[in-house]
Amino acid sequence: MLDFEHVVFQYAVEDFNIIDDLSFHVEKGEFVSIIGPSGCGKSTIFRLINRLLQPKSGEIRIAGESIYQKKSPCGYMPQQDLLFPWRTVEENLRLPMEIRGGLSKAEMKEKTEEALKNVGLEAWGKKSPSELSGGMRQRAAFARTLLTGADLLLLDEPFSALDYLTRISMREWLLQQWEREKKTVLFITHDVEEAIYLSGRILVAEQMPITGLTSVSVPLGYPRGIETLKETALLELREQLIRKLRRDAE
Amino acid sequence: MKSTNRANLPAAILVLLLLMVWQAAAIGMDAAYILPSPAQVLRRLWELRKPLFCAHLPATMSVVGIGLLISIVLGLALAILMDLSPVAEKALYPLVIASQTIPTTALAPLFVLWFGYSIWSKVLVTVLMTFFPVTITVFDGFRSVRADMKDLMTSFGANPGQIFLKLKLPAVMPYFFSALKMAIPLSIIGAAIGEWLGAQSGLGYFSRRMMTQLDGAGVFAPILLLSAAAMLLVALVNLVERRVIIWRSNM
Repeated sequence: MLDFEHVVFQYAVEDFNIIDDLSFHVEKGEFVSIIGPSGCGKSTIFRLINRLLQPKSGEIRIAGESIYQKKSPCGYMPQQDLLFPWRTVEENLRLPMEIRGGLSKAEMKEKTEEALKNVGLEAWGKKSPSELSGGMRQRAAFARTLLTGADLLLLDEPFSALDYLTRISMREWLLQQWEREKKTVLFITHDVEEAIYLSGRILVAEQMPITGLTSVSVPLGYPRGIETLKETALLELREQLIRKLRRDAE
Repeated sequence: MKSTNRANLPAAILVLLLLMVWQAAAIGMDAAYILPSPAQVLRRLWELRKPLFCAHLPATMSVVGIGLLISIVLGLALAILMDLSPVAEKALYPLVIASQTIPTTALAPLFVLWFGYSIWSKVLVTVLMTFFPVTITVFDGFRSVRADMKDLMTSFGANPGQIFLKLKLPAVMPYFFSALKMAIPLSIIGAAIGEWLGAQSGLGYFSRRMMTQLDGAGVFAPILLLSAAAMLLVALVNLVERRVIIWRSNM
């Protein structure tokens, strides 16, 4: 689904490549998390995929095609919901479809209503985003991401601004959404437990600059419950990942 | 409504107190040609109601209307241009700022020479005073557009036109209304100054004529009218703003 081939990137203000000869691959339908210490360049990877940044060299492909040949290659969901305050929830969801074009008003309305229903916000379409709670806003933002129509979703720490309890239920909710929508998800987090709970595979950014991502499989099938995190194998995995990350922090 | 009335109460009491002090001072001084009392001003306003409301207020308001319209169009155009092109910003921004160092009042007599006693000399003074806050405030609005929202639009595949229409334009609306509320009093002041310096009608002109006749209350009466007009227009804009901008609180 997603291929990085020898990608090199440097910020103009820095004198080194923050991403240096990075290659990795994500299969269609996978849920993959990228973890790493903050400031290591995780988000830069996302900004390369959604073309906000351009690599110095190397190739990024989605479904075998260069990202520069597509109009909107992926659905991007940032840490903050970024719902536009002057649009109702419904109108916010319509935004990616308006931009892409090609759909009639009635088709957009139908898709919006369906998406709202899927994320449990069918009664909230006409409300202003400011009337929604933090978790609801993220659900609306997720629905908007889905309506980009992209098969690859990039979720950049989408739950980190939420309170602990909301975060836990949003994780469960996200897995249900992923299983229903059959999308490929690339998820950035600095929370090891969150990564283990959600992903089939974890990519660890061990060094800075990022020259490679260590792939760690999570030995656990889906569907998952919150209790599964207590299994011994997972606790060991958690320790192992934290050790990896701490080594860099020192 | 009741709560807003109560919120205005301290201001109303203060105004009343100041008016009482003024009234007392004017009576004490007993020189209406220098300091007329508020009661005298009101009486004069009533006596002069016909020329003031029928001839001079419409003349001033047409200067304000035309001047404000030109200022808004010019201000918006400059702000959009500076937002679209960094070269335009570098070229125009210092010029716009520099334009405010021109002592418009001192130049206005020249405008009378250029345009005669026609409406355009007054409109020019008005525009010179008014376009600046519109330009700068709206341009600030464009600069305040969140980069992460722009990034989000870009990730959806939006082109610059879509980013302008769907993100920048709505985001700048609260700034536009602020600009409007600053522009209205300025345009009225501009019109009055223009008329003061050379005109055949208008509240500014009328005020000056009363001055030459040593009619203190007659000087104040048109000024009172100018303030009232400014407050009324700003209130009107507030009303429209509350209808249009429902989201300012969470920007």
